[in-house]
Amino acid sequence: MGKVVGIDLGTSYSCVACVIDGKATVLKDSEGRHTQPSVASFLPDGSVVVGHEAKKRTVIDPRNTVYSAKRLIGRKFFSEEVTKAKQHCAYEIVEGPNAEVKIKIRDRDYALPEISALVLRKMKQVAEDALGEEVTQAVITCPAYFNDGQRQATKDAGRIAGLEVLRIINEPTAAALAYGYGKGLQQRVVVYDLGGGTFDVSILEIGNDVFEVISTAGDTYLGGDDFDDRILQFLVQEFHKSTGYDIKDDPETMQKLKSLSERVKWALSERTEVKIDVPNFVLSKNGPLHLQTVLTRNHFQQMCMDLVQRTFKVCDEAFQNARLTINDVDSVLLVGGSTRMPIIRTSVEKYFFKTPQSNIDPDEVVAVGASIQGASLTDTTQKSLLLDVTPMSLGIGTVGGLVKHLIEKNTPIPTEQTHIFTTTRDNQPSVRIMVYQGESTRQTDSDQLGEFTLTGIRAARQGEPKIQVSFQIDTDGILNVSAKDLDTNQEQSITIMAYGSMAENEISKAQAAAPELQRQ
Amino acid sequence: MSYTPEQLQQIAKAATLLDQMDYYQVLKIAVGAPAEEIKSSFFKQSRVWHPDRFFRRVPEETYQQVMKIYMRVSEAYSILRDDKVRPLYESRIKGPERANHLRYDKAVEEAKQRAKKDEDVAKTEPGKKYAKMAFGALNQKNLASAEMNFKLAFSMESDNLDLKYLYLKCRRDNKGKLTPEDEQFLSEREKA
Repeated sequence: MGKVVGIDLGTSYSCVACVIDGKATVLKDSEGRHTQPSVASFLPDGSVVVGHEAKKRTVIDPRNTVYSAKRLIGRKFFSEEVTKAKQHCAYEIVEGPNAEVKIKIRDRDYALPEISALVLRKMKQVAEDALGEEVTQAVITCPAYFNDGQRQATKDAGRIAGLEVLRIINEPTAAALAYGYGKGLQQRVVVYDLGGGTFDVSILEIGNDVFEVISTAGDTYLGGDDFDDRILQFLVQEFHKSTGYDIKDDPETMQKLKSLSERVKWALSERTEVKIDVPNFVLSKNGPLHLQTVLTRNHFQQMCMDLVQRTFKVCDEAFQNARLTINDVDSVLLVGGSTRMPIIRTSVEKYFFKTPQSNIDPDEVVAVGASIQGASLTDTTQKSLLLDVTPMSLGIGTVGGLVKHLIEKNTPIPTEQTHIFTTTRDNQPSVRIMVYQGESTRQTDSDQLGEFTLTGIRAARQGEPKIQVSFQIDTDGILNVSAKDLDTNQEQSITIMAYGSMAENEISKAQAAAPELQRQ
Repeated sequence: MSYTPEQLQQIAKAATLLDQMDYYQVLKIAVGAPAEEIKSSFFKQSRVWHPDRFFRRVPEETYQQVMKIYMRVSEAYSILRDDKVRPLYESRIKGPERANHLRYDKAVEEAKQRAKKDEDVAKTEPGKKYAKMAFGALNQKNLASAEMNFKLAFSMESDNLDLKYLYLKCRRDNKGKLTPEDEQFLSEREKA
């Protein structure tokens, strides 16, 4: 049996690791780089480049280069995030047949899992080159606060990439596993995970080899991208002030500015002041215009204070749900590239009254944890055990636009709840069940996960049939639904329309239609 | 590592015995055990029964049995660690109805409590009667009947604003016309 890899499929960067001779190791590419940009660029000849080469092309060929796909995966076309992305992204975002998001590249529409599959194929390639053998099995990570649709779509992406996805695990949980594995710890840890596009916080209790998540909370609309965006807005304003030129409606220049903003952010983690000086930034009718300004770390931190505060509101929530206080925590782990920003480090220290653990690499720790989980699933000598929870409540739609919760958030998974449905008319042949995720009891404020229809119900008076529907959240955090007629004990047929997930034939179609991935 | 037929049989037996056990028995601890013991036992049982321990090592049938056992282990843990629920659960399993109360369903219990509160909305006997019918109709998703019965209940107790709210809410959900005053009443109540 081949080796199982762990893949951290990030918003901005991805990383792959594997347990080799009992030691979890990050797999580097041929140039020795530990992470690959999660960017795919479609070339005119129909092939695709992914990673560092693709990232360069965000500036050269922005319309055909897709980045931050993770911010869109598993979302509906009419969601806040998609609307925002449509304003920002130079690539074309279109609506698919079931209100899902598609990306249009030269007359072909790609579903989001197809885009993420390209990044995963790249990671598979990196792993195969490093290991010198074929890789077919993987554990893939996702943010703890991903909902059912987003998890399903991530799993689909893995399958399109030709990987057997042994497990989807939560990023903060993976990080805790990497941190505590094999150390025989007895402690409570908090994982503060600020990635490129998402923020998660999880509180775990480690008892030797068992890693129990007590509570988790998150914001899938908050990440390093938002910090870049603050710098971007600043530069747009500064440029407008000094030249009178407005670049907001110029997507290619905006793209240039976006990658510049990211570099300015990085530089501000090293220095307290960054001079920005780009001659001939825009070639206007009146000649070349220069972008010239200075941004201090202090000013940057002021611009981002509200974003930082948002992360702590999420932390408050996680502690409340765990019925714990900050004093109950033994260690704080910082995960995700965005935690390199000094403002995050100092704010975290102030909030927790504790210096975060400094011996973990925030970019690699998630992939390392995923590889350990992969090994413990396939190798009986690896002893670690992850006990995770579901991040949000699951409920069914009831009369008057309300949601009745069946599974509360932070319930340990796997878990199952049953509910008995009946008919409201004589000889009613089918019953429709809407499933929602979220904490609100109103349907309009919840995420609709899917629609299930009990069909072929035997003819009977209203209220007579008793159909027990079981809602099971599996170890991937994904919902499975089944139904049984309690009077006949027969399986009741059920048709499932889960938003965002792909049918078996769609996956094989996507596999067949996948563009050729270039090796660089 | 592979399992012998005897071991597989033991797992199957453990799964069938589940429905005769209370949560303390599931976690193999004494009734009233302290919180630390509940946790350590949960960890211990997880090491034995977590489905990951059986991942691709047993036939599908056995895997489903393991899932069933493990889900009960974590259910037991969820209930016993909840100080708000535990005393009630404990008194029930010590009582004469023990066999009916081996499991505790939070969603159902909360619904029961809510239903009890619902019935207490009305203060007079005739009001209670119609309110009860109205809630029954709501459960059956029969909005028209719920609206009518809330309206009748409200007419019995015309100063009961809770009933007025329920009646108007049903009317709105049932796409009935509302006067501007009614709209205002609803929105104020909902804000509060």
